[in-house]
Amino acid sequence: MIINKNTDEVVISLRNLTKRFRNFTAVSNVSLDIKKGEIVGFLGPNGAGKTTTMKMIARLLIPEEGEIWIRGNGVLQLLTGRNQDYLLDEVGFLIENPAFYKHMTPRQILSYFAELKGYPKQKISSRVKEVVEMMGLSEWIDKKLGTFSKGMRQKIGIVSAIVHDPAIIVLDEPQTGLDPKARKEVRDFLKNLKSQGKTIFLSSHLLYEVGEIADRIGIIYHGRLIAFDTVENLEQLAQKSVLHLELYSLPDNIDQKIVQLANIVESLTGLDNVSHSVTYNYDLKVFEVLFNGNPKNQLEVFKALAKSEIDIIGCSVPRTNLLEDLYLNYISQDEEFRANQQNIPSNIVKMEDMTN
Amino acid sequence: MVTKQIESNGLEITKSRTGLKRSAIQIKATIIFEWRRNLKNLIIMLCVATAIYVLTLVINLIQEYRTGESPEDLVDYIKSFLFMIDFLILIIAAAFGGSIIAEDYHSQTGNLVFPKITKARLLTGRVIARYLYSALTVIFFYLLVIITTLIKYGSVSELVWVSMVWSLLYTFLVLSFVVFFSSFMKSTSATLITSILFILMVFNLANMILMFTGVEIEPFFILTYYASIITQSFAMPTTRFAEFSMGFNGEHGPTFMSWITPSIEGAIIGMLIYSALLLIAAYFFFRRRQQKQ
Repeated sequence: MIINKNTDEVVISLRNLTKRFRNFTAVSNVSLDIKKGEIVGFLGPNGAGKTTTMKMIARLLIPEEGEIWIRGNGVLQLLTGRNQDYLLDEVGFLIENPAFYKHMTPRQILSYFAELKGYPKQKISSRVKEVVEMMGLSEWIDKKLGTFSKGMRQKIGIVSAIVHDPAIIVLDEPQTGLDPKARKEVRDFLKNLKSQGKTIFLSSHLLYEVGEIADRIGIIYHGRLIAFDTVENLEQLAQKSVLHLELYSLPDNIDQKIVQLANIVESLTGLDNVSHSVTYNYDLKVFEVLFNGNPKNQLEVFKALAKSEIDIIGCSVPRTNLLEDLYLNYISQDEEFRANQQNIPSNIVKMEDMTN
Repeated sequence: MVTKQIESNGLEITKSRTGLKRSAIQIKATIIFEWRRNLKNLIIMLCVATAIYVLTLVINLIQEYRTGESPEDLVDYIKSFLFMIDFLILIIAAAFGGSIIAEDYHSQTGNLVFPKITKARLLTGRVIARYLYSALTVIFFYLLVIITTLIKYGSVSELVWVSMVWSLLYTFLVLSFVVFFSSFMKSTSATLITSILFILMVFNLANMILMFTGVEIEPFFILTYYASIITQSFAMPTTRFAEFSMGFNGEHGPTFMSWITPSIEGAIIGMLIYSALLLIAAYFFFRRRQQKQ
């Protein structure tokens, strides 16, 4: 057995993980460390490699290259076929949409899963009741799963990942298909798990859901991890952030107001090559000011707006929009990088090779 | 190898969490879960077995009414109930084995199950659970036949138990065949239809081709060939093949050879090897198969 005692806080470490399906590389050289007690969001469009990465952690797929290290018994250990039994007992998985055997009840199916994952047999009954109650589905514990709504099935799916009380929880798109109320419940549930000291690795394409709860975010695109850091650090790296300005009343001429705001703030945003630093968001009914993410520039913009005669009644830096912006920004950077790479003559060393 | 650790913050690594003991715990949990899950199926299959029993009983009664006499030999009477046993076994095996692998891919239930147990253990647990239910149904049918014989004749031939053992072995073979189909077919219903059609048509067709082409090789590879020993075991023929000629207008035509039953040794070894190959192939297909995204 290979053990690594140097990385105390890391509970999952992916090192140069690569998975190919014939000629298609689904995951390419992905490396990331997940620390104890944090929520890590894994963002990417459909087909980016999120599920493949999670399946490799679950050993449902075996990587062609790279290693997966998981903390078991207090020590980071290389995941292999020999130790997967007890090492993966430390991890709870929800991979893709959970579908259940329709004629079974949550009590039956969760008891089975708990037993499979080595939870003490005498405690299974009380544990199953406890986790079902945590999701507010106590009344449904003995009802057939075939009668459940999609949202309820999704909740039972999440519960199935934690029924054996794992230290690490890996959730693949847990909020897909849920209504806003259920999404909030799941969000609160995940926050609650975090407060219990659980580590959560969460994939989603719902940026808002991830932005609300994640401590760090990884962005995967075309199988490559193109960014992995806290939202704040990503923002600084991208040199891009956005301010929402809410006015006392909606102006009759929005375009005119945009020009007016732009004249006040454009020189203070720290962005040189941006043609439209001020825009209007018709959905949220707010004006958006794009700036470089530097708090100093943010302050300058605030001061200038305060001096002006514009009736601003609200000002915020929304994480969601920001995240969406960052996400698209990183993806477009990656697209540009890939396009440039294709145009580079083969005798010139590629940037990726240089960084390696 | 059980790993000993010095530092321990989480769950202790014990023998119950690794190796063979862990396999046994997971397989046992799977068997119990599968029994619960297939209880409805079992009840339906017991009803099907009862229906086939009632059907043969009615046919026997009609025959007795028409001829005015019942079979003198109780073995003949028992055999009259077993003329549909291979069909019953096929229905039972298809019902219990059809969904064994295909269902997890078709209804996407595998997303939840596969990360929690290795496919080898899952398949082992499921095959054991479903075979035991299949065997229970076959034994139930034999018990109905034995009780009826006891009521009618006051005793029962010991050979009926031998026949039952052959039926149980053949059930395992047919179940393995259905499991094999389930490992690569898209859905449970596709598995059911294909495996039933294969057994009812393709094997019989292959048997006929062998017969008419004059190939003398014993057809151990034809799955349905093993079913014949269930009834033939009451009086194993000294010559295990029959020769017959087919001619028109009273003229002698060419002679053909047809195998009646495998030998006891041949049947045991053949069925066990056949089942093992099918289950190993099923496992490899299952292991390689991926959930559709």
